[in-house]
Amino acid sequence: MTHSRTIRFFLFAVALGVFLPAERMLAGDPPKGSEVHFHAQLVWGTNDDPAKHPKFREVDSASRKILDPFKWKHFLVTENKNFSLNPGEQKKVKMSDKCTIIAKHKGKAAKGKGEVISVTLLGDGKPIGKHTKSIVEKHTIALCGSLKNGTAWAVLLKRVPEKQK
Amino acid sequence: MELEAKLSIQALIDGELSAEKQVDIERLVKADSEAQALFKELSNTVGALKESELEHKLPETREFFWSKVSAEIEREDRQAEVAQSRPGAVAWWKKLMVPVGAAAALVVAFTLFQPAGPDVAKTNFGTNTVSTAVTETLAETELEMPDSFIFYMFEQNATVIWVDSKMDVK
Repeated sequence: MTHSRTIRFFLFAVALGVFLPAERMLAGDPPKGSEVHFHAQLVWGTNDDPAKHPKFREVDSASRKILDPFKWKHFLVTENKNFSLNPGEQKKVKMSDKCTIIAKHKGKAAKGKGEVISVTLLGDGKPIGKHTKSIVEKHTIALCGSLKNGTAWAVLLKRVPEKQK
Repeated sequence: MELEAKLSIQALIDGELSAEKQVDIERLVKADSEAQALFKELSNTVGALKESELEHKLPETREFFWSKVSAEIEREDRQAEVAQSRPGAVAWWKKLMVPVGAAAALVVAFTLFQPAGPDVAKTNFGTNTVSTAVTETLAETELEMPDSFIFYMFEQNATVIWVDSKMDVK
């Protein structure tokens, strides 16, 4: 009886010695890479005269060029958010009552390709889609779509240098 | 719905069908709800753009671009040949696959069944507050954007994803 208990204890100790370090190696190590900083904008695409919406200003010229293929005449910024992500970290960023993004830093990308970031888009709290991409500084991910009233929305997620935070 | 029918619907929107074929496809769109949904989705996507097709200029000449593709194919072929010429190495790894796989499955199971609470934190940046209260389950949901198209704007250094969801975000 005592001998059997000793064997069981030995086996348990061996199992702990093998699996705990392995588990730590697989699950515990955070992804590598540097902290990334983002400037996020929620944009409304419309053909309305911007003067009717004095609360909102037009997007800057660089963002306007990104949205240029779309048919709407004006793109107005309705929300701005700045945030940063450390490797392995994720954040839920509320852009409006109905639009939220979840950004996750998934670690360093292949040489020279920056960091891998996944962006999940939530509409009314429900996941609409997810996009994963390696991005370098100054790269912008633009998620866009149309609204029921014939206007459009866009979430512009630009990776910015730390000093622009 | 067959791929040919889907392509015909796209051709109908692009105005590339003969008069006879156009009548057939229009009939299909009226009769079939799936065809109707695809027609609506494609029309909406095309309608969002100023022009139906974006002109994309390659940053390099066509010949140079295809020479790179060709070189990459040749490199992969060479790698495959090298791998095939070493059967001993493959057999050795195959022998290890079963025990390593079993051990890996145990480790993964051990990892997955660890109790974990939500990752909650709060970060302030200037005037904006970004709350972080996301459970891993939500963030790890592998969800593609099914009704979307993606294009890369080289000069603007941007990736644009058009999501055809008609969601209300305002």
